[in-house]
Formats: sequence, C-alpha cells, structure tokens
Amino acid sequence: MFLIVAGALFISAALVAVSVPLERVRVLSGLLTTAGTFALLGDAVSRLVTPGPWGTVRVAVAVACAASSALSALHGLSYSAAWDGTRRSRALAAGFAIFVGGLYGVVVAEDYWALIVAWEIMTLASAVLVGVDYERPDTRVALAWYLGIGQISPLAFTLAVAVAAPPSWSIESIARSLAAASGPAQNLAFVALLLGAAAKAGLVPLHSWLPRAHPAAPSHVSAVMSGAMVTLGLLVFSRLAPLGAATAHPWWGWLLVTLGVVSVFLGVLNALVDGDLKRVLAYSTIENMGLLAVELALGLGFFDISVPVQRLALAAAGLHVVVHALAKTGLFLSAGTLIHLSGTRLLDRMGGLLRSAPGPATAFILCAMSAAAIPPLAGFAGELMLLRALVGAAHEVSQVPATALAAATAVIALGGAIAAGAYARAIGIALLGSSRSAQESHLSVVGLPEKVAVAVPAAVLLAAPLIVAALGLFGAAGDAMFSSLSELGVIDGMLLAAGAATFALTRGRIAKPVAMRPWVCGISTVTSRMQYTADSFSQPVVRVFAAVIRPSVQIDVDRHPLSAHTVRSRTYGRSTARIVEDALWQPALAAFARAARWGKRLQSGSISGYATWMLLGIVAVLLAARWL
Amino acid sequence: MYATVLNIAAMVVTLVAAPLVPGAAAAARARSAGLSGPSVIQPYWQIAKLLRKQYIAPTVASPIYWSGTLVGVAAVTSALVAVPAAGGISLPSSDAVVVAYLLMLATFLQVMAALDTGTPFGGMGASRETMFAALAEPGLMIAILGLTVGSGTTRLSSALAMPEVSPMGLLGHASIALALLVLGLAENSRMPFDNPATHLELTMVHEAMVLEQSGPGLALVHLQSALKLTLFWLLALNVVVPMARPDSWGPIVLVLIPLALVAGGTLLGLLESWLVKARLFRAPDLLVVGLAMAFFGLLVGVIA
Repeated sequence: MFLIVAGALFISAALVAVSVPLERVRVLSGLLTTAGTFALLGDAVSRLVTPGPWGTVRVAVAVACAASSALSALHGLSYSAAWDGTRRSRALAAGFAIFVGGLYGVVVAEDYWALIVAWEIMTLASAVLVGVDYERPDTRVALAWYLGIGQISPLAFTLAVAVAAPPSWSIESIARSLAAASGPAQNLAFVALLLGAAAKAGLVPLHSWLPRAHPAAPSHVSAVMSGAMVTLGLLVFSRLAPLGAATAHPWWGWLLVTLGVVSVFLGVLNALVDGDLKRVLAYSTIENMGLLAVELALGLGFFDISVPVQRLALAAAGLHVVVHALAKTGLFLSAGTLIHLSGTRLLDRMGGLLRSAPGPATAFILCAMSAAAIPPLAGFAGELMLLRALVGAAHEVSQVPATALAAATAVIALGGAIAAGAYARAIGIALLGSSRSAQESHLSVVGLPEKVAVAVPAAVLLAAPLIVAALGLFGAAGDAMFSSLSELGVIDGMLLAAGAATFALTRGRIAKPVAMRPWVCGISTVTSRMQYTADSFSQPVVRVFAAVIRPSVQIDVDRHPLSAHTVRSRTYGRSTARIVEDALWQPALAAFARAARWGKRLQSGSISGYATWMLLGIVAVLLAARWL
Repeated sequence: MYATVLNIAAMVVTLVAAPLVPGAAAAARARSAGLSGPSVIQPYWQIAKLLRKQYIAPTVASPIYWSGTLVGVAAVTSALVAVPAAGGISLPSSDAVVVAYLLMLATFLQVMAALDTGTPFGGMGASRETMFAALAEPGLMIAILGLTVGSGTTRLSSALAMPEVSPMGLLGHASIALALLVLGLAENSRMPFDNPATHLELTMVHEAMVLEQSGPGLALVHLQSALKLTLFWLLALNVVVPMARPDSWGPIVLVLIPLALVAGGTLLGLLESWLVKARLFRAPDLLVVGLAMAFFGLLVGVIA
C-alpha cells in the first residue's frame, strides 16, 4: 500500500519536474518527492514494528533508506544552493525522485530481475545527480570513477546468479541453489558477491569513487548516497550469499574481516588528513562500512561461534546501519548548509561557523560525535556491541583465529580513537574559533524544512538512548539492539547527574564566562590567521603514521634573478600519497589504456584489414567449437 | 544491600580523595629534589581558590568552551566510579569499552574547547594531545580487554580473576601492567611525555591546550586531571591486586582508598623525579611500545 503510493508520487514528481515552469520545479516536484519518501518511511516503520519475514539487516536498511531519503528530500525543499533556476534544476528534481524510488526498490525486491532493474535505476539516477555540475572537470572525473566502479556490482551479482543456475528468479531460491552448489562454484559466487558489495559499500580497494563523488554531488544527494545507498551492496550480499555453507570455507569470513579492517584503518587516517569537509565525511563512510563488514562477518555465520555472539554482531550491524544513516545524513545536510553559508568546502577557509550559524553547526557536532561513536550519542551503542562481539568471538574460536580476531579488535580500537581525532579536527577548524575568510559569510536565509531536516537526526541520536532506557524497551524486536541502547541511556543518565553535580560545584558560574582577549605571548592583536590550520593540526599524527600516509612537502622559492638572497615568493604545498590508488588503480588503468591503444590498431580504416580480422575470428570460433 | 552501600561509600570517598594523587605526586617530587614543597592537600586549596575567582573566556569562544569543560569532568567522573577498586563493579559503565570511550569523550571535548579559543596555543596543544590520544586511548582499551577476554566479555568485573600461575599468564599480566603505566603517563600528561609544571609554551602539550582556562574553568580542568590520574592508578591497582574491591574488604576500605591514592601519587612523584621529558616526537615511539605491550597482553589473554 505504502509502496504503491510512494511509487506513484515519485513518478509524478519526475514528470512534474520535466514539465512545469522552471521556477516551480523545486517546490512542486520537491513536495511530491517528500510525500513519497514519507510513504516509504511509513512502510519501513510498519516493517520494524510488526515482525515479518525480513531479517534484522534488511529491516535496518529499509529504515535507513527511508529515513535518509525523507530527511534529504525535506532539506532539498529549501536548500537554495542546489537550485540555481537553470535547466539543471529539472535534472536534479527528477533524478532525485527516481533515485530514492530505485533505492527503496532494491530493498523490497523479492525477485532477482526486479532487484537488478531497481539497482540500475538507482545507479543511473544517482550518476545524473553526481554529474549535474558536469562543466567542472572534478565532476567529470568523479562521474567516471562512480560509473566505472558502479559497473562492477551488477556484473558481479549477475555472475553469481549465473553460477547458481537457480530454478526460479526469487532471491531465496538463488541463495538455496548457491548453498547446494559445488565447492568451486560457491567460491566463485562468494567472491563475485563480495566484489559487488564492496564496490557499492566503498570497501578499500574499491573505495575511490566515494571521496570524489560526494564533493561533486549536491549535499542532499550525498546524504542519501553516503547514509543509505552504500549499505545496499552489503544487503544484497547478505541475502544472496550461501551462508549455510559459510563455515565450510573459513577464508570467506577472513576475507570479509580483512576488507573491513583495512577500510576502517585507511578510512579514518584519510579522514584525519583531508582538507575538504565533504571528503572527510566520505572517508568516514568508508570507515563505517568497514565496521559493518566486520559485524556482518561475525553475525552472518562465517565463523564457528555461538549463537548469542552471532546475534550480538547482527544486532550491532542492524543498529549501525540505522545510526550511521541518521548521522551521515545529518552530517551531509548540515555540511551543505554550512558550505553554502561560508562559500567553500575547504576546512582551512572556514572557522567560527558555530557562532554565525548555530543551528546547523550544533547538528553537525552532534551527528559527528555519533559517527565517531562517542558516548552520549547513539552511535556508541553499535561500537560497544561490535567490540563485545569481537571479544566474545575471540574467546570462542581456537588459538590461531583468536589471534587474528584480537588483531582486528586492536585495529578497530585504534580506528575509533583516530576517528574521534578526525572529527575533532573537522569541527574545531571549521566550526570553532574565529572565521578565516576575509568576507564574513554571505548569510542567506535558511528555510524551515532545511532546519527541521538538520535538527531531527541530531535530536534523535542524542535522545534515543535516554528514551529507550526510560521506556525500558527490553524484549522488543531485535532485543540486543534495544538493550545496548538502554544501557547507553543509563550511562547518559550518569553523565547528566555528574554534569549537574559539577555545575553545582561551580555554583553555575561556569556557564557565565566574561569575554576577554586571549593570551598570545604578549602580542597585542589576535588574528584569525594565527589559528592552527587543518594541515597543522594533523601534522603530528601524520608523522606517526608516515609509513601509511607518506606525506610529502613541496616548497618552491622564487628568487630574484639579480640576487639569490632576495626571495620574491615562497609557495608551500603538502600532499599525501593514496597508497591503494597508486599501487593498484594507477597500474591497472595504465595497462587498460595501453590495451585500448593497441586495440585501436584494429580500427585501421581499410576494408581488407577488417576482412582479415573477420576471417581470423571465424576460424578461431570454428577451432574453439571443434575442441571445446 | 550492605555491599551496595559500601560500594557507594567507596565511590564517594574516591571522588573526594582524588586530588590527593596530584598533591602527593607534587609533594614527593619536591621532597626528592630536596625542597620543602607544597603539602599533600594543596590541590584542594587551589581548586577552592580557583572556584571563587572570576571566569574569563576568550572573545571568540562559543558555549562549547565551557560546556565541554563541564561535560569532560562528568565523563571522567562516570569512568572513575566504574573502576572495581572504586566500588563500581556492578555499574553498567563498568566495562572496558565504556571506560575507554568515556575518556575519549573527555579528550574530544578538551580538544574542541582548545580549538574554540581561536589561539595558536590552543591549536598546538590540541594537535599534540590528539597524537597522544590516538595511540594511548586504544592502548588502554586493548590492555583492559586483555584481562577480560579470558571470560569472553568486556566487563571490568571479569578482569578481577587471579592471573593464571603460568610463565605465559604472568608475563601477559606484567605486560598489561607495564602498558597501563606507559599509557597512563601519556594520558595524564606526565613525564616523560609532558611536564605538568612547565611554563614554556613551546614545550607544552596539555598545558597549552588549557592555557586560556581560568577561575572555575581551570578548577574543573585540575579536578578532571586529578580524577583521570586516580582512574589510571586504581585500574593499575586492580591489575596488580585483582581482589581490590570494596564489597569484599569491609568498611576498612574507606580508609584504605585515601591511603592508596597518597601512595600512588608518591610513587608517581618519585618516578617523575627520575625521568626527564622526552622530545615531542620521541614520545610516539614509547607510546607504540606501550600499545604493543597492551596488544601482547591481549594475545596472551585470547590464547590462554
């Protein structure tokens, strides 16, 4: 019921977007899309409260997709940065309606062809949205990466289905056929499915599209892509993979854990060194997808561990999907408003936004704390369950795998601390201190829908643990999820009590500081350029992890031709190596380009050349048919 | 019921007695240098004096500045009362992951408050503190998990089991204790990582971060560092003396806790008078050693 209404609304939104006068596109199409996403939210909530055949992860992804789409559609209603009144508005409005429709279609599809059609609709519509500013060179590069890596998923999924040779096209029968297939066929199908999932989730070797596509797309589009779309690959993987046969192939689980742990580590390190606000958020998504991969590896039965530990890991995955969707949607939406207000995405040009735009900045801070799994926010509950599941699993398995799980635990603990540092840097440089740009932010009016869309996720993430603890929601559907949230709620209550006691100790005077000029070694004026920059903040950590980040500094000194002692200007630049891209993608793309150049020779333009190739081709086919 | 009352009394005594640790450390440091030095209860006078002063904040500071300071104290308080030796054995927060993340919350808020001052010193201290915290905080969690993993949980109560009397088990335990010492020195900004008594801005780490704090804010910063120091000392005590928990010792523990805190502070002061401050970029090497020892303890824990 909800789905039919939503589908009709999305189709009419797309039709309206291309037909009504240009100045009405935003409101008319936007309202229809928003109504459709609220219908999706109704569908997701009804599946959450009434137990159905869907598993924990699928319900969680449904809630994540619906909530992220609804908030982003609402934000898009008044987010003026995305609407410049040109024809691109039509593409943006129609593309967004189709995109969120396809997104939810992937979740509800019961049939492989429905799934793959919804998947392609989602990928192509989001490619239109990523490429909406195609005049900019960065955007074209981003689009090439996005479409290039986006090709992998449907191809890989279809390969797995071909290996399964299922009797019918329903997802269950494909999974059953794979579970009954021979060992090598299962291995091939597993690798293909994992490849498809990793490409969409941005797990490490296939992560390159995320930090490029997110800055290119409008913020309310990045919000849905980064909050909800990235989880879909892992959802399809969890539905199609032959999980019953998983313990027969121990390396499956290890491959998944390795991909996850490497994504966590490289994701957070890059989030700590990058200077572009939206790229920082993209790298944080890579980290979160890495954590989700580890949760699924433990929760879906790849390891020989007890059922309670598996349930704990699966509940961690479910909660993580929902909480990450809320936090990342809130982060991208508030970042969009903040970037629009300050006119730049670069951390080093921002500063002091908490004072000029308190609403979006506060929402950004709360969502960032949740994304970094810092306690009073709901994000910590997922991290807590993951670490508990890891410790429980390490306790149960035999010595050698236990050692490996201990190493995974250590890297995830390290990743948590670096993520906190990365978000502290992004907040501290961009939102706190004083403004770095010469012109004070060109404050434009932030509309009410935009404010609501930014405030809701932050408020939910802050209040959810306390509310769940207050309601005492034990024993509800997905009980582990709620019990860890309510445990966090009790800890939040302790924090509140301790905070109130501390406040009383200072007799409330801590809240009423007197403003004075700060100390800067006796220099009379403090300017905003004296503040630490994003690069200088991360320099000590970069030095510690230099082996992975490989920083390099370029200093060019321009000297006067007549006197080498007179320096006319100095330019300073810093860059960090992208180790995966340099080691894997650059050689692969270079080899592909060489192959393409070689292949061009076939296109000689002479008819005799073509005839020769055709003859050789026919002979080859005949020989192949003779011997194979 | 009796055990609960005793545990709560122990928490209150621990919180009230926490400033004895830095007091005893400063006194021991002065005595070992042949100075008469401040008395052990000097931190109480200092905090009381600062609480009565005016609170001054930089002009650009936002409410994050003071609320971060306030919530930081609350976070460290919540973490401290969860330690078994402080009577927190049955609290929901008595969990290795929760304690580590509450400390992370406190560091996160301090870093934000430092960057909120808009001064170069705030940024410098925050940046260096982040480098230390990125290695020390996971190290703390890994070290405690090394004690709890043997029972497959993350609860601190399971860290209290007596170590297995085998060369491997004792080695793992000793490794965890040493890791806690190294990481505790870094997390609490003590020698050789940082000099809490320095007044030279360029060598400051933690002190640069809180340079702008004054009056009640500075009182809370002092209080927070005393609580954090107490937390690490009591955790280390629980590793070395696993049976140290108030409900099994009876009311005498209410006297023993302040004595233990003074003893810990004295040990710290003597250790510090024997160390010199390392160069800033030598410190990560030592932290990595601490992290490796914590990881070794975790490995012993999962294999045993």
